Amino acid sequence: MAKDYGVKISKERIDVKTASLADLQLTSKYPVLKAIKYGQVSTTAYTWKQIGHGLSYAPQYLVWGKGSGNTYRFIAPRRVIGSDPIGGIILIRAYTDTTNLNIVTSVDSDVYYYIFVDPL
Amino acid sequence: MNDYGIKVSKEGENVLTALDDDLAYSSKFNTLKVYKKGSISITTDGSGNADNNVVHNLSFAPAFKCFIESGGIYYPDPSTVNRNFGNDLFKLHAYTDTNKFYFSARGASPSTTYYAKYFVFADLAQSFASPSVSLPEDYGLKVSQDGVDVKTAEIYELSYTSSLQALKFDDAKVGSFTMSLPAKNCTDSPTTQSTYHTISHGLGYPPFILFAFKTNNSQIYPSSSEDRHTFPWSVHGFGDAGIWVLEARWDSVTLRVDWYRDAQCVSGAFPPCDLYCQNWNAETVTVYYYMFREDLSVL
Repeated sequence: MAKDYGVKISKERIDVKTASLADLQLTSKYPVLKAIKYGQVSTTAYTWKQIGHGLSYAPQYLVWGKGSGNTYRFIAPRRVIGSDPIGGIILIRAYTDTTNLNIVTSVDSDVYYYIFVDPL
Repeated sequence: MNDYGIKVSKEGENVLTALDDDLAYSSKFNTLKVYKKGSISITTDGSGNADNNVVHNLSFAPAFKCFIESGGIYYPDPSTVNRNFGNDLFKLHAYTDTNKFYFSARGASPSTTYYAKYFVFADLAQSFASPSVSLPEDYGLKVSQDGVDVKTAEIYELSYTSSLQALKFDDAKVGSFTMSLPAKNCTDSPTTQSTYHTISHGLGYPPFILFAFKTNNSQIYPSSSEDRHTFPWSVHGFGDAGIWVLEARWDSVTLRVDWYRDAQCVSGAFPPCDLYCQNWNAETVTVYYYMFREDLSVL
């Protein structure tokens, strides 16, 4: 650690004073993504879904969509050529702007999202 | 924010006055908690199909990330077109359900072994409000999400727990760069054009990376020049003509992002191509990256 103050939490049974970075569960030297908003929304095929984030910049985000006719979850971006032999969902796309997280899917889907305060 | 909780600022920031994105951690926000990570492989049959899985037993479909590895080179999320690199990435699939993480191939190269690195998080990828797995130890640090009793919180209701590793990024390895291409018309010869940008990341290991991009080209759908899209990204133009691809690969030394455009219509299109060709405007793409302190090579 660069400075002699901060926070470090080591893995169970590892001495935090000598732990390598790989053995640290959390350290103030390296930040974590901080989710300001998360949850599930329903999407309609090829219709953009907007979720307001309340930040004044385009933030980091992650999105997973449910397949069609199954319970599988797939991460965005997903773009399969032709038919989807696994999930029945050939397209999941997302982007953020200064106002919203925007999501589109190729089938009606349940989409779970995380919007982070960390900017892009 | 309530007037209790934990805030840890980034190095050099005053925690009392730091903005939210200048915090290393805050109990105000949920964090991604690594529940399982590792390597997984599949070997395809004569039709290029294969399946493998890892049991997680969380009782909900969890958030996850997957990176394909080939010869020490890493590629982001499978299931997306990657024509420029010419591999089978888009024929590989990663997904979760309530008790497993899956890695599959459909129609990939026959009798071929594919390798991937996976991260399964103790965080939801579906709505869920039932019991999940219990955390093992009766000591350490647990921080619940706002409004949840930390003593009874389920694993997915925790903002942070010392039982699990937080996904830590390196502020010095968060950045952006730009790439530009001149206009390209379907009457040009050749109709294709490409460029790439390489950076030395200096980490000494292949990291977990998140990507996004923006473009000033309103032909890319949707059209605002400030939209930040995740990639790999592939899109056809009007009438399925032309193609626009952005994709990434990296190793322990460098990150390379490739950008490819083709102004010609797709093969076999009808009516003839010249009625449906996609001309591309001059364009500048900005790529954003977050590199994490996770070494994919040791999984």
